[in-house]
Amino acid sequence: MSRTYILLYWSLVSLLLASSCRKKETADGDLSQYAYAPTPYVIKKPAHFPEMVIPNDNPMTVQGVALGRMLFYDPILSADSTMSCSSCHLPQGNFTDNRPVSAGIDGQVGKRSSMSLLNIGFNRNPFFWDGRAASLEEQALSPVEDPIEMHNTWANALEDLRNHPVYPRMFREAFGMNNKSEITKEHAAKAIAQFERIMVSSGTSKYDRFMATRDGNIFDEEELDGYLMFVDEGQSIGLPDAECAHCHGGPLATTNNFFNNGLQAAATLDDFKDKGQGAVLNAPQKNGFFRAPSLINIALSAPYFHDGRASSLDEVLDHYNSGGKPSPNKDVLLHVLGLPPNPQGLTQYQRQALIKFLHTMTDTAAINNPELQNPFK
Amino acid sequence: MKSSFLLLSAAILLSVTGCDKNNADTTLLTLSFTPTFSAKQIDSKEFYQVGDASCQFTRYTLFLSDLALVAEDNSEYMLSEVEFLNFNEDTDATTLMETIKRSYRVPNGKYKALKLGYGLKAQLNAKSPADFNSDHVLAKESGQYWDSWRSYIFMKIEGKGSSAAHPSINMAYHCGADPVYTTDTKNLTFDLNGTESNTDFVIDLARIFEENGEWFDVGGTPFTHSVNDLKIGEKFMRRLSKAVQVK
Repeated sequence: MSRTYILLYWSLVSLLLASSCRKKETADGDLSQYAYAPTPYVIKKPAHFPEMVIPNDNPMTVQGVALGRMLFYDPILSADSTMSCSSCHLPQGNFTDNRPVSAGIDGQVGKRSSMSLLNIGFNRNPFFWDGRAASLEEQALSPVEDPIEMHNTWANALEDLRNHPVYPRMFREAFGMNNKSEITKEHAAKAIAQFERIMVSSGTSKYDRFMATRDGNIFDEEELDGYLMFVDEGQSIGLPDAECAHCHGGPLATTNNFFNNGLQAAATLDDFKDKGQGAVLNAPQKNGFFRAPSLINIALSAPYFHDGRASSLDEVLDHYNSGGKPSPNKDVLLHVLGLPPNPQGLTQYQRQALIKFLHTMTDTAAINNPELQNPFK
Repeated sequence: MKSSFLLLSAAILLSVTGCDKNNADTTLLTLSFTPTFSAKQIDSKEFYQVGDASCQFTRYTLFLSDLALVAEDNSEYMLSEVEFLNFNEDTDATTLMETIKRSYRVPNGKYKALKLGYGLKAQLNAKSPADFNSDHVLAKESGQYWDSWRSYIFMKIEGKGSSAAHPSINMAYHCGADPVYTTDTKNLTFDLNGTESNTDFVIDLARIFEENGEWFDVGGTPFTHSVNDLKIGEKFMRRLSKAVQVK
């Protein structure tokens, strides 16, 4: 941890302590001296996005979001205080870490690439690449104790949080407990989930503006050709179907559904090296299925696929252009792309147009949103 | 104190009686839907003979609109405005396409028919996923929406297979757009008297691919994913009324 970082951190802590009017929790952990008056937080979203559904047991509040932001960026949750949620979900990487697979505090690497959190609050399907968490709150619980991530125990993390000079008050302000002994891992997960729900597109990308207005003039000719291939609507002008929108359509550029996109060759359903959703559901037919990620800011999210195997969008197109690797349950919409006279793949221009279209989904305003940045910097 | 106790007892008694009356006046009606091929529940690992092609079915989804019971006096009781049947939501170790059940609490009485629409009625299809909360089926199932054509995909049949003329067939029939929406009335008797009632339907995909002894040529036309040519969509959606039958 750099000296500057430590200095900034403790400056923030001191500031928060000073603003508490010198009140301190009593030795027995009583927090009732602090006000509990949660202020509803209204999520800002582009008009063409669906309404986000907020769980009844975790309403959005200004105080909850503020706490969640702190917990998201603070390495306090990891066993050696070196890793936070943001270690794998950095704003500048579209809330990924731009690594093929992420490394935990012990240097162990996992087998999956970190998923972007942008617009994650709109997902109504299970979370993670394999769908092993039913909710954002449940998802937020697991990295703390995962040996290849933060490798801590929640008991240790809660002890650190309860003994912290600032957090008990923030938990009280967000959730209203009367004593710091009542702070639970579920409260921490709820706060983190609240913060993650405000990670929303700005609506200013070319793609957003097109989706909101349907004005094709927003795109240049090449981008428009890319869009027509993306949504399988260019055949009448000689552009092949690229079959993208089946999984990545709509304002969120994802269905959040699970598919076998042909990344693994498997002779039988049991032969997948990484079974993905099939292992979670114990459903062989879903072996090799992974969640389709959002393509918003995809140009900023390299490397790609659940295992980070593709370092560029060009490599991603190589994969889809080939029709993918054979397996019994490979999605039937994967096939060698192209139209006669080029049925063996997209032309160089078509590839270029698709990639250029994907760049229209870049939303730098979202990742630079001041409310989403590290509060300790 | 004593009068308070009596009042409380009376209130509890009334509320319990009220509940009983409510339950006694209604019946829990469950409709189930199972995709089959010529009377066999579809197993996504199995091959089925579709004309001269041998095919597996890997995905089958269908929207239903305006499910309603028709009473003997011709009044209608709406069961549901929209249902999404995703027969691929596997949550078990089998490869059978799922049986999907939907339950409704219905006023007791005699009903003579079930009305249903295949696809989304125009009022619903005029909307898009952005018009709903993210947990509404018409927002959540954004994969069933064509942005470019401003229409939901009413029915998806996907699979793969082969025939002598076409050694490798990847088939995907995505049917949507207002003109292919069809309605159906099943003349069935529902005598609902408070006892739970179940009616099981099959959706026989063979009836979608075959009509009057003529099979659809899946090898010749393996794919439709456009509203520019609705012939296949119209044909398949129209045939649903024959394909959907009481088990």
